[in-house]
Amino acid sequence: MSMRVKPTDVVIVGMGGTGAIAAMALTEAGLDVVGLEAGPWRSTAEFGMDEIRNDVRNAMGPKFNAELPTSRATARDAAVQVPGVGMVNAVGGTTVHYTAFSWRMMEWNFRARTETIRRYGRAATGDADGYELRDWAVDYHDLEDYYDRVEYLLGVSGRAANVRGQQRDPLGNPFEAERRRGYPLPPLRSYGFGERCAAAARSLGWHPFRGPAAIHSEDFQGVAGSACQYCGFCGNNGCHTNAKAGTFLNAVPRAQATGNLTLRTGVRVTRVETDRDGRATGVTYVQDGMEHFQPAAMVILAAYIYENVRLLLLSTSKAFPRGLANNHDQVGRGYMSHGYLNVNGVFGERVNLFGPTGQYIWLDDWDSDNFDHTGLGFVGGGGMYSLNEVKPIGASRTLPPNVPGWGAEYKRWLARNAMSVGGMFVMVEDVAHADNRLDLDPSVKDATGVPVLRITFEPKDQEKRRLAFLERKARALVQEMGGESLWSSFFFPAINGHAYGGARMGEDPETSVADGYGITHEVPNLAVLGGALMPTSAGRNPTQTLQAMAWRTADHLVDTWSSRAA
Amino acid sequence: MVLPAALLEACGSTATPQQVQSLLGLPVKPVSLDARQARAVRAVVGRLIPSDATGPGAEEAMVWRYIDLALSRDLKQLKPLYTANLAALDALAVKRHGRAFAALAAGRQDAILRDLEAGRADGFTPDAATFFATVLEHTREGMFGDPYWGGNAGFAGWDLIGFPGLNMVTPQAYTELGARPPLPHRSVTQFNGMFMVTLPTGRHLGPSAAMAAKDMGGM
Repeated sequence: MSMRVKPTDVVIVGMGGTGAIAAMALTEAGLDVVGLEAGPWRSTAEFGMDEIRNDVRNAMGPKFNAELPTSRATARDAAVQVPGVGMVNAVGGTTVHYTAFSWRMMEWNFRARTETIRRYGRAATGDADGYELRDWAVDYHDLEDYYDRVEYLLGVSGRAANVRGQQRDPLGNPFEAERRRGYPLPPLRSYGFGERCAAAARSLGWHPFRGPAAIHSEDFQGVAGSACQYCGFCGNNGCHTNAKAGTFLNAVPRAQATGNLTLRTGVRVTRVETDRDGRATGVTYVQDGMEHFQPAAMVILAAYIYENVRLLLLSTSKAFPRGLANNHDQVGRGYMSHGYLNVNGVFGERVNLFGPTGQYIWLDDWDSDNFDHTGLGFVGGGGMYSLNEVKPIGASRTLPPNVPGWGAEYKRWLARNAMSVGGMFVMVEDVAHADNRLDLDPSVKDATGVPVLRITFEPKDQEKRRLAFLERKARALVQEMGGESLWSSFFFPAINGHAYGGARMGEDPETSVADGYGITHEVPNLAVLGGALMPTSAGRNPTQTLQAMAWRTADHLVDTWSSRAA
Repeated sequence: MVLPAALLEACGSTATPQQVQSLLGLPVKPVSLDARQARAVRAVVGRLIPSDATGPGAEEAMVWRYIDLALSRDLKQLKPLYTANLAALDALAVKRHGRAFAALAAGRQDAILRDLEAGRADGFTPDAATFFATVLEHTREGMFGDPYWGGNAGFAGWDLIGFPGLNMVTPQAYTELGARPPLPHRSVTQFNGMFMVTLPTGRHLGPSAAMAAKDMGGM
């Protein structure tokens, strides 16, 4: 039987990118929070520049890897576990090692359905083909204040174009939504290949700019030595100068400073418990082999989307026989991935891509509804960005299709060209489809005997058309940059570090799991944070948006706490 | 908090490329492969990235040792796969040419490897193409990974492609188009003990995890 521990106001499952933000806002408002984190604290001493350890072995996510979801393309296929997604179990979660692209969404992303119907008519939504193109239950303008707060908490480096609609910086992003002020730090420094990319894009009439990153371009808040040193071993690695703003460096210490956060590391949450009325009573977790019950007035799930959804589906009860907050069969639906398109070329000289991935040129010309989609057969698009952070093992795998992958010719090609390969990436949007979803795997279990999640996902026709369109655009740019022998590669992985949906937000309890604050329709004292809430995937990294949403959720809980506690 | 000047100083190292791995006490003989298996792995990696006018190949870069050490710890679960498939490789070589793979001329070795790559060989687990792809991936890791993992001896892999190696502080000039940054031959083990490193032999270098976590204000 489980040991009952001291009750708390709020228990948060996961102290990662979003959970830490909520913990900070709640504790600073005086609420008692228990944060349960599967991983340990990580330190700068662990963040050596080591491609095998960081990128190949992916050693920082042992719990994630031990309960890896299975995946399959369609319901007719067998589902298998495919390793290789680098999630981190740690205080700070995957923000410990992310590339730290730190974005606001386009205004269009929040209203994709409404805007699509307005501009192109109802048929363009893809409803008839099984697509579920939705609006979010939150708008850009609801989040603008929180975006700003997150940018100043993390220390985001970037170039603002549209401050209060007043100044349009010609070197900023012309598609940017209005913001109340600029970024707290200037963008990360430029690099030769990025400048080449920007010049080529401008000659095509496109709008390149230095993309925002939660990496300090200068010492932030007077902390000496906290600026990026451009070591170039950034993705899949923590930062040894603390320039990368993982939440273990900002939100968690702030929450700890209040004295109101009880942080338990190395614990595995197994269930959300509910009473007969269908209210959440707390969570059960295992620490050092011992089962504990943490009673709480409010439960917040802030793990990655797979574990958030799995916990909902595992937490069955009389009130919720198909899983918690799932009496309308919405949990697991609306699952989305991101496609990754890469167009490379060989340049006539060394391109020297030794900076962090977060030092990049980005273009929004072919994302969201920034271009006319008439007759294209898809909605949305994808952000396009210049390659950086080339590491040697990665370089040894990056070959045009006509070059053999081994032997003397391979070696000669590498010697001549490995440091001269450059190109563009595109983060390709995915639209939810009725066939793509998450559920519990009927046969595969984790080491503790609990079913893992099962992903059913394949890109549909719109995604294929979107990918082909974006490939043409990326090829045109790499060509303009002077690349030769161009080649493309792309994959639309079922299991992804960029995964969305499964507990979508919406106004209608019949077709969504949570409201605009992430509070579930069926359980008033249960909230979900993170990408599971997203009704559309957008064509860019989600973290900063999810952090803004988490902060807003916490503020909402504080504002309504007296009525909730009663 | 570490200042950039201190970072630059921490980059200092007096070890030559050849000394790095011996200073770490990496074994010079196989620890998980038997002699026959080790000969086969040496021969295979030596054909995948051969020694030629562009520089040392994977055999001289001790890539076989990277694989051998990995199979003793991190990739232990792949040891049975290697055991079975190296036996299948030698059996195939004997069947075709009457001698073990390592004893064949380079041209015959290449022909057999091409067949493996294309899946035109029986007796492999789960199949020849999968085994070939696994060994090729491990060969790239060993050739181009940090030398403390056992391969990339003398930084042969990084020199081959002109990778400047590890710079805690990368000067902007290194990232200009056409720049030829210096190749300082630094392993992550050579930053004056700043980083926690677990060698493929299991030995730990640098601060302990407990100390490091405490330093971060963890509990």
